[in-house]
Amino acid sequence: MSSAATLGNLHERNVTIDRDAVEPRLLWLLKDKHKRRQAGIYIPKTAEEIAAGVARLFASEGIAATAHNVRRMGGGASKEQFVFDVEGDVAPEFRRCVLRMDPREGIIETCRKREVQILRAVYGKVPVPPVLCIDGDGTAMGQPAMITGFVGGVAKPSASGAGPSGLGGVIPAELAAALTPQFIAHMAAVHATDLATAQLDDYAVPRPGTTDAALWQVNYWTKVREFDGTDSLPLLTLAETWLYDNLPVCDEPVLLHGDHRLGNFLFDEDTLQMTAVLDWELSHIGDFHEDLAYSFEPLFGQRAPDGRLMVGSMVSTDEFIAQYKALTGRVVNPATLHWYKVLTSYKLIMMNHTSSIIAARDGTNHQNALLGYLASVTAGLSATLIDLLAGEFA
Amino acid sequence: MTPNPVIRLTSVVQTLEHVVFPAVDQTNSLAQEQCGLVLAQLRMLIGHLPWIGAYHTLCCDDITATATGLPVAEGGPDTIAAAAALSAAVTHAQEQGDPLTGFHTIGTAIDTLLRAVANDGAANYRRTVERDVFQFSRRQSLRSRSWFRETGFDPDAANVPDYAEMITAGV
Repeated sequence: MSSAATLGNLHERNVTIDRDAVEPRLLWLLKDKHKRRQAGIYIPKTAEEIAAGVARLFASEGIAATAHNVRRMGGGASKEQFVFDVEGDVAPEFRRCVLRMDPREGIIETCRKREVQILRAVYGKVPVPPVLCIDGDGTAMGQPAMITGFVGGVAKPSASGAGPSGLGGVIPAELAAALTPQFIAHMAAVHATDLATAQLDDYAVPRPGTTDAALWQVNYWTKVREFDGTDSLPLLTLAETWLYDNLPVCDEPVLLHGDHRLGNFLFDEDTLQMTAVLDWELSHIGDFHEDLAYSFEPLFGQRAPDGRLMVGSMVSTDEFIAQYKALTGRVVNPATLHWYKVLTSYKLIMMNHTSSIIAARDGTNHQNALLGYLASVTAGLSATLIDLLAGEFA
Repeated sequence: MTPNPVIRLTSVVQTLEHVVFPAVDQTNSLAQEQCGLVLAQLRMLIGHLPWIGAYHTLCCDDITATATGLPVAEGGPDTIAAAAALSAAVTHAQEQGDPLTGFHTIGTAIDTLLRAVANDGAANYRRTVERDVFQFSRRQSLRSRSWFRETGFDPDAANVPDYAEMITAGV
């Protein structure tokens, strides 16, 4: 990795960066969000409104069934979620379902079509909820939504506490011993998805052997700031220029979960088996280092007494890498991993420092108070970014 | 000037906590979660309220000193223009006199300068700008972490100082 002193400026290096290279579907979503913003304050939907929307969706999909006992699910910081019972002509795994629906605006702007595509692509390879149907453009529900079968399990030990979105959770040692191999194996399984047959129609594939995978990510999150920026943050801009200066080549793009962390999987407290990997909305195709780096974000882990970072409070980063390598044969490039750690900090700050504040300001989310509170996460995240960049600018 | 805004806000929190929120439907998980967040945010604001002016002034003073301490710009047209815009932003912020607005006026100009030096800044000038802005960012990060320490999101909260002490010490 290089700093300005060794690289020289873009003009001297005769380097042109295509800053518009972004996955088309994601760019469309960002632009569409700005249209939706004009609709003003968002009032969370009632259970009755959701039941009526599900009835419209079932009718349009030819599903001869009705939703009963609709109730809102707690937790999460991104999407509105409801659970309900289904009576009618559906398979047993859909007797109880979950509706996952976009708010008008949120901390991230993602695509239900993509989420359904990836759930179907990895079904049977990792534990995920089965997909019943999708309202991709929000015709029936008023907002884009998808319905999956309900999967039992807990996201954290019943006796433990955790903050919003599963942050700050702690997994006891015995449970960690059982969950860690599954956590890593599921990541490896996702990375092993055959892109040629996965039918990920709304995903773009970076060219192997190029910097596409890295560039698209920096471009996307930088565009989020362009669209949703409110307050200045020079630290973010330092990170932005450093990321552009040091784009790593990705030889073998793979399918990424994009948000692989404690809080985004369910497990059975009796069998200690993971029952579902959730929250696939940030999935994309890119460099495997990106999923590793994201899991290694200190916000999603805990420090051991000796100061080592424990991923998801469960396993050290060294042990994680060793187990991942044993499963995949992939060798981690420390410089590439470092670049993706910076990217992780960059995008997490972007979510909380831009889109989250805008939605809280405009009242366009179902949890405006949560987003206003989560914006303060930027402070702690900035410490991590400072640490990562210290060797570059000090 | 009475009652003090802290007293007014404290009375709101007490009423919400002991009268309003207990009346909220216990089975409405969204409402219950939002109640907790509202209380946490209001309690944090009560703590911040007496210090807000001093905090913003401290931050604005630091970013102003960082901007005015940069050397004369060297590089291509983007860099020269961005440096001139930063100088104008500092003047504008000082004339405005509002530290919060001034902080972001200068910060936005620094954002532009950072992109400009990456594009066509002279190597030594770019290195100095990035080093100085990084050092400012390190100080600002610690201030922000102190300000929001009680949210529970800090990776090393035990080593983050109390904001009242930081502000009093002027760091």
